[in-house]
Amino acid sequence: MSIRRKNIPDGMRDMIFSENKTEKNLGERISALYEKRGYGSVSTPALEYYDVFNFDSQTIAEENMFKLTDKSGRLVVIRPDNTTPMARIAATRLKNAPRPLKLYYNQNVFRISGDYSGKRSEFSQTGIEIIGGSSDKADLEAIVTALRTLREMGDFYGGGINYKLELGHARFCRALIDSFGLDEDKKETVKKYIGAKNSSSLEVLFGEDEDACGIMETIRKIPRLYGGKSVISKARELCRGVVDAEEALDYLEKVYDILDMNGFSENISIDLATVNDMDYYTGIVFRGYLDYTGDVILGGGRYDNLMSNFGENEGATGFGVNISLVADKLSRAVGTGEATVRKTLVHYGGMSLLSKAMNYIENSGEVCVLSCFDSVEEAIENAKASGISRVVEITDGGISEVWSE
Amino acid sequence: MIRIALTKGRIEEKAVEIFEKIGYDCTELHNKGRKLFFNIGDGVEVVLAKANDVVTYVDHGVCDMGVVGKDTIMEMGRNLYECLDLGFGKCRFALACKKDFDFFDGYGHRIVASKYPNVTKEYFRNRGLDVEVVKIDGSVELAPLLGLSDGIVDIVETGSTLKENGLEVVCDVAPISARLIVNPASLKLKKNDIDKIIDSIAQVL
Repeated sequence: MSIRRKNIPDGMRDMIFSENKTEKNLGERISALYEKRGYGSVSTPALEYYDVFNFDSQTIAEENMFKLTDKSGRLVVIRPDNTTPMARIAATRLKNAPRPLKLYYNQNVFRISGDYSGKRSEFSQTGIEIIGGSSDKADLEAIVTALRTLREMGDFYGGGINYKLELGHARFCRALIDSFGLDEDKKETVKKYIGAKNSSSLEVLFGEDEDACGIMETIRKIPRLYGGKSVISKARELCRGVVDAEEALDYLEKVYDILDMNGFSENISIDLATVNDMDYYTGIVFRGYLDYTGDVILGGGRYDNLMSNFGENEGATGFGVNISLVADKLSRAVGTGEATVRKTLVHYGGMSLLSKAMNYIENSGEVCVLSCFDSVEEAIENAKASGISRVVEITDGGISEVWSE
Repeated sequence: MIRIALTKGRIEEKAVEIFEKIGYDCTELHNKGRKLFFNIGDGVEVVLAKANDVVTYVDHGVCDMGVVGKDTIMEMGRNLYECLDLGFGKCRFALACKKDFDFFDGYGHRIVASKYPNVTKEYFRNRGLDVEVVKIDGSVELAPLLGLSDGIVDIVETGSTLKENGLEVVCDVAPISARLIVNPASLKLKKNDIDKIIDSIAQVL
């Protein structure tokens, strides 16, 4: 027998009992939140043409997508991202639907993770997209919905779990770095180091270049542009005269002030050194963090160019939440908080009693397991072995409890 | 609580000196016994681990920060914040080959042996060169001497090991030193505590 027959590929996972239930429940609880706010439920196929995800600003590396061919030999991928298919639907089947179009999804994405990284290659993602509509209010809606999502996930695990939504702007770093007039290679390296908050490597990169002294003065400060609102004024000093960056800051400040005015500032912070996000973002971007998860669990922002890949020019904003990561990490750290369910095994004597047994099960408030055994002794043995708390027997004479813990 | 992973050995010793300099009580780290967790006061806890594991623990967020060599960070290529160059443990990655052999000459296929296959691949990819990388676990110097490879990419401090074996450095690949790495989510959720540590370390460097 092939060894592989008994195994599953790296990065994949069988989800069994409570693990499966917790992940599903969490996804459904978050989906219910979106449903309640009038977002329309959408699902897309697991297989899509590679072309859907193959455009300039797409940052899921080609090698991280699972690929196969359809029956005509065309290249297809297993859904590596949810936002792109949502944009595809909005630009095609929902092209004439009224705007703003509000969609939500709750489905798995597949991305090949590194060997032995302990990271899953298939994970459940829930999220929203707002397509069209006034950009300020759409951005604000996405942000407050993201905050609400983070709180809801904490509440799912009993509450009191610290969360933060960090705001940034896709154009700030891009414009600032562009203003330095570096060649493409150096620009990419600078972006990489800024994304990693790696000031020392930036110093090394420009170390011997005397012309770069002025630039360096600015660059070395970028990685530390995170924290509260004061970050914005610090950033202003760095980008004087770079119009696009200044505009980005103006907008970010405006959004921050509105959130502050409405009492959200406690869970909001700013990081302007965000360059590693999906390249398709064009405006405000945000990332959500939750205690114990050790990673970004929510990511989103404004992506006004993505739709143009599908022939439509309209603005859009949205975010996705990595439900699997939250369920994995928080169940481990704080427990699922689910009480063990009491179960009753319902045994019936003669075949003619099946409907009576079914009747009992339908009307009982407890979880009932229908017995598959011939004798009541076997049923009791099974109950003991599988954690069932009591056994009732249905006979012609009536219903009686024959065993309990 | 902030948990810091230190790379066992030389990096640990230097890191402990730094933490003492900025006012932490490292008594427990001087008398380790069989303990795995060391309290250095002010809500900071230290664990000791092998270099690769420091990166893994910080990557997963079970440790908030770590002190580890740039060599390990480069080879493992994870998504981490690399906040400070601590300046000690200085050495470099270099490409070396047998003396009098011109590595870049001619059109022949080149084979390079290394303990750091990812660093090696990345270096040659950036230079647009197609070389075959062979992973070796022990003394890499042996590979070109046995005729397995044309060159090696390895950590070089003084270059004396290379010289003794008739090898010489062709060019430097990247500088190495100990770095302070931080888990991105930790930096955001425990900003004040972590900033305080980063800033005090930066001041004594």
